[in-house]
Amino acid sequence: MILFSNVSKEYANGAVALDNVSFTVDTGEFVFVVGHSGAGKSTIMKLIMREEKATSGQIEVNGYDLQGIRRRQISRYRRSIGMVFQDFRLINQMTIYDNVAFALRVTGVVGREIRKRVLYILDLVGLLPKARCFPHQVSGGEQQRVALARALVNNPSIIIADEPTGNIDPELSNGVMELLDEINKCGPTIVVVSHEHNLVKKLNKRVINLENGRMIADTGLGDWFKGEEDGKRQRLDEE
Amino acid sequence: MKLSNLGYLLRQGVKNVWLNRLLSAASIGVLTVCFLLIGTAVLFSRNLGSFVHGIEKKNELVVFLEDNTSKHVAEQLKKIKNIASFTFVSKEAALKLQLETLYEGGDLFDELNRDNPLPDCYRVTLHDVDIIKKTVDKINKIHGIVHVNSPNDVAQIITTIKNTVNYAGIVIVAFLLFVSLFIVATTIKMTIYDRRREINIMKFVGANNIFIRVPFLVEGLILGIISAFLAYGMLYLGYSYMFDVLAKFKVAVLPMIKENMVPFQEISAYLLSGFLYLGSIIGTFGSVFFVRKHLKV
Repeated sequence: MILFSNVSKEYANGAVALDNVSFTVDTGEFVFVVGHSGAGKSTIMKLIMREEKATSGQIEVNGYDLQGIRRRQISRYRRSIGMVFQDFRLINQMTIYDNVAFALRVTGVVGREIRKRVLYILDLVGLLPKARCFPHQVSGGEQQRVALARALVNNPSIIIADEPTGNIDPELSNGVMELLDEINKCGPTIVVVSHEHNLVKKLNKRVINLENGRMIADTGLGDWFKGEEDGKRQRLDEE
Repeated sequence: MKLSNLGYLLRQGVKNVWLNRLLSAASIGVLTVCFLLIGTAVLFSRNLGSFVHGIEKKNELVVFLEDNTSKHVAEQLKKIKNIASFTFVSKEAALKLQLETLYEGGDLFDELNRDNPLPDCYRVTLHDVDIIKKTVDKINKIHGIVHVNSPNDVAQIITTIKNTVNYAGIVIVAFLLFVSLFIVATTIKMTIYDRRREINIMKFVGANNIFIRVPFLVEGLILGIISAFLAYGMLYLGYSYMFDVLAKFKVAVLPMIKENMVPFQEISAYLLSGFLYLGSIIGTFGSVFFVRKHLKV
């Protein structure tokens, strides 16, 4: 479960990235976080990954209090989350197999178990034949699937995807989103940051909408878009 | 950390040296040059010391005479107790010896035979080198003595040179060490800056700091060790080559230098262990120190 309660984030240069944002994401939910550039989407991701610390408010993820978490505990906490980035963030010097296996190794899984789980997950994302290739030897869409495999291999309870389709073709984007949907059906909570309305619309999931660091809507996709049309958009800001 | 993970991390460190071979080569190059400079300074200083010691060890004096005083001087020399033996070297014999050492064959120096500038001399060996100064004073008082060549005079000059070189050497080696550390640190910093993205990714998949540091540590250690062996090998070859070159020349002072040259085997263990120690320290600490900056994600 993810809990944001009255969270604000102000950077050292005085820029306010988030202003009093509150929401909860329950276990097993699939949520989109949308908004224009500078709306605060990436800051939410950074706060969930504990790359940044909120200026005020409370953040709780998987039972970890991210405001009070010790530096030493952060790596353990991150192992409970699978992260997918827009730029894939694969280690170029490692093969696809090793990139995925690395996420298991850091958790202390060893030998045969690594092999079993990595091969299973690569098969799941359709990349088993390319296990020995290096990231630069496969397409963008395939690299994103490697990133997805790496995020999944630890059986995380939450998967965070930051613009996962931002660097790949529209056709491949659908594939990645469908894969995320399939994964969600198996249990993990999924939070996807995206600005691609078509994809968001297509999946018909809950959407959190941000604007200038404030949350202006949090609703199911259908209601939200209908609401926009009917002028009934659910506003959750101070008004 | 589990033992099997340790094996993986060690392997990863070894692998990274090859994967980042360009920067690895740069680090090895810089470290090797630093070691070479330090090693050369050490070898130079040790040889000067050995040379001085060699001269001091020689208990032989050369007593130069005025013309036609050899008999009188011989009688007086016999009276000095510290003198063990002495042999006469005529000016003709001395010139012949000099010419043999300086020039092989030909008649370039024939003119000298007609007007020999060298004096007659006695080569004097002593019982006790410790009282050499006293003995030289006594000899100097004998009538007909032009000059007494004592190894002490030469030793003193070389000792002064040696001390100056040693002090200068300490300053130069300290400076070189500082510069080396700076260059090596910059190279390692560049290597790690180049791989900050990799470190960042590792942090995001939940790797703890030890897990990230160990391969860098191993990598630094390997680079340090390779550099140490390379510098050692190069010094060995260079030094051996110098030995051979010196053997080929027939200049008076060179046999003496060669005779007193410190054999490489004598200091090889110190050099190698010193290089390995320095290399390991610079390599590992450099890596660990500069990785730290990128771990705060």
